[in-house]
Amino acid sequence: MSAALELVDVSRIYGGGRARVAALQGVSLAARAGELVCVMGPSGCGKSTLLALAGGLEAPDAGSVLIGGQPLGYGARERALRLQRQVGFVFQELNLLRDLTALENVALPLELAGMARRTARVSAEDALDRVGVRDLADAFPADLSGGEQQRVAIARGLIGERRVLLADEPTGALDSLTGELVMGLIRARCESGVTAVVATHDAGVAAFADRVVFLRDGSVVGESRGVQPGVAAVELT
Amino acid sequence: MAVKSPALASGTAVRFALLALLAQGETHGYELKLRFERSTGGLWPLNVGQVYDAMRRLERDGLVTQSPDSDDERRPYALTPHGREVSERWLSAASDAGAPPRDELAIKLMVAHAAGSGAFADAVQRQREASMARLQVFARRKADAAEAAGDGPEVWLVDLLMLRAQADVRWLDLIEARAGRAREGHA
Repeated sequence: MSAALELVDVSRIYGGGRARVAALQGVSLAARAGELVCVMGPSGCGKSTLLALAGGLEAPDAGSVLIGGQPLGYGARERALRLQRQVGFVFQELNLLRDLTALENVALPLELAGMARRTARVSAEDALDRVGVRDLADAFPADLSGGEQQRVAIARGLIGERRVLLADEPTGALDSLTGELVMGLIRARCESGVTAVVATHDAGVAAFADRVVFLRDGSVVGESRGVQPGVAAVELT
Repeated sequence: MAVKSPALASGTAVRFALLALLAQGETHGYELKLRFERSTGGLWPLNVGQVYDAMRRLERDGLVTQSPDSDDERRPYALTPHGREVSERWLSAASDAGAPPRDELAIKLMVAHAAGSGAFADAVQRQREASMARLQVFARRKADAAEAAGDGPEVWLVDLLMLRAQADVRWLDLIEARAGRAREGHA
């Protein structure tokens, strides 16, 4: 079975000559359907570049990216379709447009894709429902707490049939308890088949992952799958 | 090899905890064992023998008495006035971690650093993976506990273990960054 999301030996170089910086160098990563992968590393390690390549916002300078086994194309129309149908992004802040209600924010990607407003809004209600905030549909972002805003952003990220969620420090602006609720929500969406890649520098956030990939200076230096041979449960003595 | 938690329930802590739990009302050893396990979310099961050993030491020190009239195993314990005072003092005092422990992790990494930057970088990364794996196991345990029993003592104690493991990861990140900066400074 092919991976839901796959980066094969990708590199991304910014600048040229003496200013040349390899943001990513020969990185491979395959995530299966329903897997929650956290990419962990300090600022500047290449986490955000990895997400941009995974979602096809940028093309790699070498290597390839596949979603559902299909190599990504980088024409304007292919990019637009991908963001409308396959991949959702969630960022640390500035996720929602302040003049639109929660429902309108969530419906926006489908409306931009040309879907009839009424149909898009039915989908948006469904997406809000899946993350437990259907009752906030008519609220404006300024009336929502940080955690509620992130829930709405995740609903927008996963509206329609999109099965890949890419999140860059999604809990960075939240307190620990709210951050944990947001990660629990992403975890729950993965349990119903969504593939998520979350970039974070925070080990407490990465603890939610099926797999943690460690990135340093643009390269993968190790990973943790949260299992130790022979350990069925935590022994607390 | 099992994932071991830090020894949060040392013998002394258990003894003081049993003393403080006796303040809820006099009772026999088995009920004290149950009170201890209930209040700590079942994370540290005690055997009855440990409880009776602890109670004998508390009795020897004049902190509890055992009523003389009923049959042996079921004789209830009660706090003495001195025991009540000690229990209250223990509950209200901050826990003192005492002298810094000779931490194997810290010693190993300092020795690896002395051995050269390659050995140090490898040791930091291997340790980071191990601490992360523990965190992932704890996170699953916490989710299971929350599902089974709701938010309560077991979840809170796993939080403590997770925060301690996170502190290890943050320390590793910090010393790695410091070592990198020191190398650049020398370059």
